[in-house]
Amino acid sequence: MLHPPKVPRFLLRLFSSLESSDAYIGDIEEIFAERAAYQGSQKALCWYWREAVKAIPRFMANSIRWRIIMFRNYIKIAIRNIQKHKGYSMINIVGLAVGMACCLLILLWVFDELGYDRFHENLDRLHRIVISSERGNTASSPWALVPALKRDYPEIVMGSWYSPRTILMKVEDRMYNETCALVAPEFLEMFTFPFIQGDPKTAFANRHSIVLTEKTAHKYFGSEDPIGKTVQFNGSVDLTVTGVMKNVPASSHIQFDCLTHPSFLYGEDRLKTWSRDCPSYVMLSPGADPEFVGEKISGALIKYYRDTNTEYLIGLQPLKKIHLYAINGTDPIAYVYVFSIIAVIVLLIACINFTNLAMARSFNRSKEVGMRKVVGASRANIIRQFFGESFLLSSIAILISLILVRLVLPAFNSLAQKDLALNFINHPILLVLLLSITLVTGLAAGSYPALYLSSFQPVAIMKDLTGKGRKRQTIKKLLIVFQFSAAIILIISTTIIFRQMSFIQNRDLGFDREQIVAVRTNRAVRSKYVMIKERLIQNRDISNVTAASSIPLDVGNNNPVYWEGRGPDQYETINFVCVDYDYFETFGMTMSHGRSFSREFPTDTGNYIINETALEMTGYEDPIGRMFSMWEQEGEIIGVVKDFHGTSLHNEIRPIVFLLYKNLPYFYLFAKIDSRKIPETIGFIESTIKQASPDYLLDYFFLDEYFNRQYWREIRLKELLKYFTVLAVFVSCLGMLGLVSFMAEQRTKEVAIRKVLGARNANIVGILSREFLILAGIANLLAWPVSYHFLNKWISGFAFHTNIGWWVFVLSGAVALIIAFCTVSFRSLRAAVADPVDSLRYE
Amino acid sequence: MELLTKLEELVLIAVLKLKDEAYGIAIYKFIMDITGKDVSVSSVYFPLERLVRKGLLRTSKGDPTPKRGGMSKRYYALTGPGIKALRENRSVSQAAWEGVTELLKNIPGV
Repeated sequence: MLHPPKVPRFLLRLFSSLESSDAYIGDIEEIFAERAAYQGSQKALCWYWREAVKAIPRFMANSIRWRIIMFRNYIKIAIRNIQKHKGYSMINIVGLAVGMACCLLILLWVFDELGYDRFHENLDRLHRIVISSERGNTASSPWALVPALKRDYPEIVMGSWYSPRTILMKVEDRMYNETCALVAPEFLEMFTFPFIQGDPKTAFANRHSIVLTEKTAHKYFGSEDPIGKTVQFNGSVDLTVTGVMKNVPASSHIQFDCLTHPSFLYGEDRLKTWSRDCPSYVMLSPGADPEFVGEKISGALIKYYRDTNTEYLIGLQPLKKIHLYAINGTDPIAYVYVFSIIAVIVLLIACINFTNLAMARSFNRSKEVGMRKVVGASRANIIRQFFGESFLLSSIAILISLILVRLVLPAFNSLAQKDLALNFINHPILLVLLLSITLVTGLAAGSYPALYLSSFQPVAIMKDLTGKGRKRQTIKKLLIVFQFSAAIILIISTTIIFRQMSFIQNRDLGFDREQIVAVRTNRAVRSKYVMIKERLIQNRDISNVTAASSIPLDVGNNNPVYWEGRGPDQYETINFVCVDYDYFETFGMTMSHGRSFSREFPTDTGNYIINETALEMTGYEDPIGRMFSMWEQEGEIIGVVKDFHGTSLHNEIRPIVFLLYKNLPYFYLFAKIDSRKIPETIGFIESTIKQASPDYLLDYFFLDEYFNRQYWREIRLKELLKYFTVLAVFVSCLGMLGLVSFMAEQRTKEVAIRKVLGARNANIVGILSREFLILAGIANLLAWPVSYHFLNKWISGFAFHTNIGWWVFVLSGAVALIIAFCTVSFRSLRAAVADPVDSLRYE
Repeated sequence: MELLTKLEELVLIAVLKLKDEAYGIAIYKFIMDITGKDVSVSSVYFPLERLVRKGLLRTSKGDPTPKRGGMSKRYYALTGPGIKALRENRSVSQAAWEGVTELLKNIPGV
């Protein structure tokens, strides 16, 4: 006997949408057997296949039609259910939407952080030179290093300095202060910033060239063609515009308005020295292994720079790591992790809420399920219905979250100081995430009613023989505990981050940074400094005027020094600051030994003051009068200044030497001014300097603002964290409120009977709230060790930090408990004060 | 009352005529004979199931045979509403066809 073909049978079975598909296939087989008997197997096979080809499209069309019809039905029922329980649905949807919106915003931020500098074509070949010694690492490298490396190591094919300076630009009669990056001609070939006009390869063919960004070019020349126009650089050199590049993207770690050669500011000779002023970047040959090259060049500096006792090592930092990995202290990528974790936590809280509430609510619907089954619904129908319903809810929530993100994004951008946009084309992963979250929350929320409730016999459900679902209660409790711990962890973290931030901001730096204006000077101003100072000091609102080669918050210049008992062959390098008289007085720095520079001692111009860390380095007990030498110039140590925090608090204090070196330029002028008359005094400073040097555009900042800028990441982190914590706690409480409401509703009769029997309102609130408070307590115990672990790590990234007080934990826990209690008792009180008659009279 | 489609009507008539032998293949063959068309077996099952859902037909299972790959037959029978629907549709058809034969005769050229 001929066997019927397997393939078409399988296909028919697969696609058949008939209820009686067994009978149908049986029929086909019977006809096949009949045909095979009188027509031959060939023809019968043919017929079988023809039947399959004809039937399958029909089955498909049919089943799709039915699915659409059923889908419409599920949606209709789901909408009715949402309308019936408006309160719960609102809590459910809003909770998930807020959580999702938080998560989306954080993810946008995270993607932005991760996307820095990615637009350079030679990304993988570009590296920044980092110089490390026992005193830490610095990105500032000597001028002569890059040319030497290029000469001696074939793997290094290109290299450039990058020295961003605020430079006065003069176009016709207009003056601008611009951030001008001083770079080697190769810079444009290494970094592929897109050009609008001109050719990056030839833009610097002529030394007297300048490349502007689009924005700068427009500012200078309006709609005129900028190419070939002249710009006066620093009041001295005329440069020709040879190129216009697109504005530097926000996702670049280097930001500038124009590019030109450093010789116009520093002179050719300076570029051949080993003094360290600015970062340098190198490009490796294609295929060169950065690790290998880094190893190879690590000792190069010692070779070039023989007379030092400090071990300097050169390293390469890949360009793509610059934004997120610090040279010293905590890597900013830690913040990316912190935020990603927060995003996950907030999302989890929201999803758990959603699931919990949906589960709780569906318990009320067991009778509905029973009813449906009695009327003839199959289990599949019920599964589909409940899943459909929870998917509908989660989809609505996601839609609302998208709207929320749209609305909140401008505010978020100004808070995070970013320029983020919700763009699924750039981040298809977000779309995937959105869809999968809709799916997962929908599945999780729908699984209890869909899979569990649908499994009962209708009679059992109707007679309420299903029991109370102890397992479900345990899961629910676990979820509440988890959710609450997450919220507590966020509260604790926020508190400690706030404490550390205010510790930094209020820490005694060892000098006064309030009310001090720092003015960047140019050569003309410096040459008339003495006169300007004399005039400024006559203003009653200016109490002190001084000048220095760098600001106290950013003492970065390194130089070799030696001292009594050590020969010139035993150099140490040390940070130095050239200062004017009154420097220590203006900043309120105190001397621990000796005196500060004084006009009464003419020899002070050759003398030195060191800080306590430097004193430690020299090892002197009695430093005053000891010989000290820098730049081959021997002088006496006349004083020791108490240590102050020069660089950011992430770093340790470094040794510093101060000198009155008349010939060295004072790049900054400092004035301590009366805070009540800031605009007037600034105006006075400007006009005074302009009188002395007409070609000057005031460029100033306040020292305390500059200080805060060193912590911009932390400050933003703090701000963002604050909002996200509030939102996470809000979403958590929403979940609690929903659950308590549900519980109170379930126990309406119990509450009513208790009241009838004489329970007071307080008792009832207690009964209803107790379980939640116990859970919140357990959550506290879980949250404490976890948050301690992570915060301890974070806080030790600061060289100077506050300690994590135990009270923070207790307080955060207490706050969480109080919030939980308020939420819970708000609803239980309502249940308690309700008239028992209302809930009992139907019995 | 509800109007039936032509195919539904034919299926109901087939079930009525086939009496106890009204199962898939028999109905399929009946329709093939009447229309003279090589229809697909599945196209008989769609109206059958629809009529069952409407309550015009009821089904019962037969015994599985090896010839059918072990699948049992499904027999169909008219329900009360089914008979009523067939009657009503018949009178509608008759009313509609009244005089049509005459009219069709006198059309030249067709």
